[in-house]
Amino acid sequence: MTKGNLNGDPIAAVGIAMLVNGKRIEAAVQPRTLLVDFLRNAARATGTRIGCEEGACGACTVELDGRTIKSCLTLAIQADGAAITTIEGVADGDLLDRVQRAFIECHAVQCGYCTSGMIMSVRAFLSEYEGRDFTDDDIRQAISGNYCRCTGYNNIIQAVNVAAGKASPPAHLDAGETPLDSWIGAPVVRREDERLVRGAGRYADNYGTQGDLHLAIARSERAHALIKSIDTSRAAALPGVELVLTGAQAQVHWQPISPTMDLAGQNLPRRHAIAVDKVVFYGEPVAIVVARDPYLAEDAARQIKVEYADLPVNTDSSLAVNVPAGSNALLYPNWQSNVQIEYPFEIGDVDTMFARAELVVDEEISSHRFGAMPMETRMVHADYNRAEQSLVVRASTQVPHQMRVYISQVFGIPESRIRIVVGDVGGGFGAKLGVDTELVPVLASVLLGRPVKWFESRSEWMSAGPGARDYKVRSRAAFDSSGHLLACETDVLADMGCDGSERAAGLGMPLNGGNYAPGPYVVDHYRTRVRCVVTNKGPYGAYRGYGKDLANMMMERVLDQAADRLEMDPLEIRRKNLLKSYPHQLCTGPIIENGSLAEALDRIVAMMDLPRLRDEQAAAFAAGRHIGICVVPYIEPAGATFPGSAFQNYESVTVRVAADGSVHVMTGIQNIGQGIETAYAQVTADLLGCHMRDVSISWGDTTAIPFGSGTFSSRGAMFAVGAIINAAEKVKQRMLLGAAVFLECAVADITISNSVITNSLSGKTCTLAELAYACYVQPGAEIILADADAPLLEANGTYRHPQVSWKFDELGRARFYPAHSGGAAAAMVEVDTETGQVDVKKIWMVADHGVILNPLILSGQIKGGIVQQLGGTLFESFEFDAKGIPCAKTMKDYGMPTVWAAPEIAIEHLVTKSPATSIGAKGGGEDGCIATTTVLMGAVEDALRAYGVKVMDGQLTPSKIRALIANSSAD
Amino acid sequence: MRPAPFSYSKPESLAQALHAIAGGAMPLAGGQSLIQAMRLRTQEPFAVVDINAVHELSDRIEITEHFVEIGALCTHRQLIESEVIRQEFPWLAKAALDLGDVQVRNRGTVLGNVCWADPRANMAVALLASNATISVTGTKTELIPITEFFTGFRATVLGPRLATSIRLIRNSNSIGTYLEFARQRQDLALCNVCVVHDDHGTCVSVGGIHQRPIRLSALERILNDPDSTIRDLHVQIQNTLSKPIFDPIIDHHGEPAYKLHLAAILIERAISACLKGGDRD
Repeated sequence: MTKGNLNGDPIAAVGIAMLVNGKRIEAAVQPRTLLVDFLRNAARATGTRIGCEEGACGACTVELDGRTIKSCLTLAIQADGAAITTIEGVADGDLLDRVQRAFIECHAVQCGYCTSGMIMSVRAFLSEYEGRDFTDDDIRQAISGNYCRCTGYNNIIQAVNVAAGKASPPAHLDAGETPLDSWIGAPVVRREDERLVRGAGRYADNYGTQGDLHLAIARSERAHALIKSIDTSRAAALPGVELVLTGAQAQVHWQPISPTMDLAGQNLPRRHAIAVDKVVFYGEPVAIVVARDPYLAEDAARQIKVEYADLPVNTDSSLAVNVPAGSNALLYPNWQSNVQIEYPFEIGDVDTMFARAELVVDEEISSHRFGAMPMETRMVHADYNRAEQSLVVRASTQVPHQMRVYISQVFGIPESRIRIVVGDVGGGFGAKLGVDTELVPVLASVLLGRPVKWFESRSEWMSAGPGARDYKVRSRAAFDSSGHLLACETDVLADMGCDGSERAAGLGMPLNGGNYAPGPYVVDHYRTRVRCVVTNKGPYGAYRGYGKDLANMMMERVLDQAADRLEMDPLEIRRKNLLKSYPHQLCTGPIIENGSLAEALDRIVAMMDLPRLRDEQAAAFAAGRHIGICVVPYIEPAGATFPGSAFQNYESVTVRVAADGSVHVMTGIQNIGQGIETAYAQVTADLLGCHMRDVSISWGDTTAIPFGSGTFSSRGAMFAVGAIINAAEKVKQRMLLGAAVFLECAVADITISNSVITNSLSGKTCTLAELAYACYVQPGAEIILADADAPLLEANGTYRHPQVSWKFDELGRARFYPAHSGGAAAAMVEVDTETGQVDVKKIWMVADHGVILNPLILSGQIKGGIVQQLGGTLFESFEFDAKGIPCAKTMKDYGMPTVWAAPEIAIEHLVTKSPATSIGAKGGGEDGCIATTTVLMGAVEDALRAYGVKVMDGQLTPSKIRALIANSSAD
Repeated sequence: MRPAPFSYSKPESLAQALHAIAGGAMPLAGGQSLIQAMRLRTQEPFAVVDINAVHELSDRIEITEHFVEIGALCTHRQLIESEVIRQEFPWLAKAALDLGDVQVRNRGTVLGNVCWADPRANMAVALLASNATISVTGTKTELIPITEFFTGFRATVLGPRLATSIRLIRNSNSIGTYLEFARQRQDLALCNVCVVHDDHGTCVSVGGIHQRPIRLSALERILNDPDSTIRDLHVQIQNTLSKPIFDPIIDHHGEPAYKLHLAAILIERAISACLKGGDRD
């Protein structure tokens, strides 16, 4: 095929016009202008979103002349004269459409990035089926072209049924309703959803100014090579190009990437965000182009020619770990090996116990590379003002304050002159904790003194976005003949790709795995070795689960083998070894403060009606079908904090009651779809005795919020809530003092409920608004708050978890995780033994997160995590060829789970109040990702019992399962 | 990523469209494969000719006494909704329903899917077993049997010509089954199979095990032999697929041997389904 028209005659713009939501929009476009760009830019219909560039994700779905289409796979010029409806055209003014309402009531929205397209598809489906009945599979058929990364789809299916009047929504409280007793625990619908279902989410790409320049990145086409030369002349000569820069040219303008963690004894690559003289992964930035529009920038970036000298490529961690010092296969020549960190730990008398054991199970277990893959890629709008020497960055990140730190470190701009603004984030899951490529548009803006925008394409994410998991493990355990666990040992080799701590924050994951493998069991003798090895793959990022998945897999897979060999019930061997008294200090140091693991195991068995399922399984087997079941306990450590990292043991909050009585809470936790606007308002309303509608939550703007650690490790329910308690108590104290003056009684006689303050002796009342006005204005603080510690109804609060200890004890143990949720998980699968395909019938979970802040949100988090991890186990994979080139170029090829992947999920909760705060909530963001792979592996193994196969590889693809069967003696 | 620059025309006559194509322009109908490839910049045509306004081309399914003729602009959705297709060629409706998703089917065309000629293209595989004939216009119009249409990986005999319609022979006795194996439903198939049985015998087409969708004529001969039994069938399928003539698609979703194994299973399942009456509306 002839190559483009780049150097031919310039292509004239063509005037087109279309009706967008009933309004005529005209613009001159290039033939190549995509409809989605026309809608977002010319029509300012920014609710239509870009999640991929292959027509897979469906976030760009709009209606064109009455039919849903993907506006990223349609040229604007093709829609000339058409009528388009976007998400903005769905609601009738204030009145939401039935689908929008149902999405809110059913908690079918989390980060909201997919929501616009999803709602467009559902509306088309419902209008097509108007007056006709339909099944859940019809719904799946209708939305299979819309990925959702957060919800796990089940709530969306429910919302469709609710919108059609076929089902009732779950028990919920609509906005404006008041709970009977407390806000905490009430199933309040999320307040963020009103904007998200309208397509009015405030994602970074919505922001833009007339003068924006656009950045494109020329990326390495080698996985490991020296850069011999770079020819940028053709790119620089293209009209509209403002800046072309190589890594070598950029080097003098900035410092290397600022690490997210630099743990004791680890190696740092110290790389610049644009490669200087060598590349270490396919897709690493080697040069940049800044141009007038993103199309031109991309054209120019593709004109940059790089000459490489190839180096040996590492794609296998078990080989990379043995590369000797001085070899040219070392990624970083100044390191002594490819090991980024090695962590050994031993306690008790492991060898003696193994020698004494009546059964030793010794297994090699592995998990492939997959990752967070949020619907929204990374996005930066950087605006450096030369006159003021100040920088404003709008970005998609989980950690605005840490981003400020990193940028200041790299550019030497004082933090006081940097403002990071983050609105809604289209999914994070750990992948937006590091700042690497985000530095590049900042550099361009600093050099040009103009606003520069970079919106990462999905292709870029596929090679340079963070991957996770990717473990090779040897797990051994020693038992006596009755199944008592005497000792265990784990040896973890984790593939960091090019780096796990500078570009991203994955380094701690395998360390966690090693530390938490004894997990929910009583183990006194334990040895682990964790080696994190760099290879020529993209960066290794934090991902929901953060090694707790590994810990669970290493222990539970071995326990199933032990049960098998001892001919014990797999539940029996677990009950026998499960920790039953709390607090319990794990042999590796962390203290499991409390919990209900044994009860969870009993509860899940009852919930599943396991004996009945076993009968079904036997009957199915007799009929030639292969069904398998697996049940395991799990723990979910939360609130991680590591010395030498951005992950600190505090959070801070400002609580402000304004003169009109409205309450404003400013938090350092970042909204990434986890419902903080709702949950924190519930907490604050209870603490101050006001109505939830009086409370507003702000986040994400570093000039407006107190310094916070950001969103990671399921910490908000303890850390932000703890800080809110701390601040609200101070404000409440002043409110009481003020009320006593205002209502002329003693503080002890004041009661506050539902924003009404009462002198319980006289019955005299005032509203919170009246009291606040009295404090601030009339008669004023010198009268009303004369006895208070400060003359205003505003306070900062911080929270620090008392259970953290960075000091190593005499046994070499620290406590980086202060808190633990936990429970039990189970799966039932059916395996097609001819094709190897696994059909997940159902997943169950019993989870204990302490006091539940909002049951809708909590169960939504769990379901979403389950389907994410299920997707990773069954479909998703970052594969690389022998040259280190990623095999999957698109989200579809990568294997993003669609609605077809979502199994039936049943969840029950236990409540053991956390000692962390007076409210007693624990972290709840990651459960679904912890045990799902383990139970799927176990269930597949159970289904294939007749073949006698062991399932020790966590990648359950049809070809691999089929190979297991084909290689078994029974096939 | 976004497409490289190209010039665009939207002619109203076939002659103009063919002129553009002769000059090297790529035809654009639904664009669901082409625009994706242009976005990923695996295709960088310098010119694109939008054929949607060509008055000689139709989005209709014409029904005559002996034929059903699918116009070049007929979408997958229109095919699925067509009464005659659902009644007489339900396996084609099934193949279309397993393709992409609602949005893609609303826009993508049946003929476009055939001409894109991915070896796993649902419509290519399903129409191949259906003995369709493709009407191709260049300097003259020719009817090309679909069995002669595909020449290699995403390659056809078309050249600087346009496929203007695809014709099926109506046969009230025909039965057929389309089956595919994909990691998730509606994903691009790793392997897909169509078996069609009518008065003239049984046709078997397979996608994914060769660089183009293929018919298994050796197997068809056996199936059409009145003496062969179902017991033979399993062995015959294995034999057919064990010949070293196949060149399965290489990707990271399974070894070539696994794809051939899948093909064997799907063929057996599809034949078995046909014996039970095949796909139904």
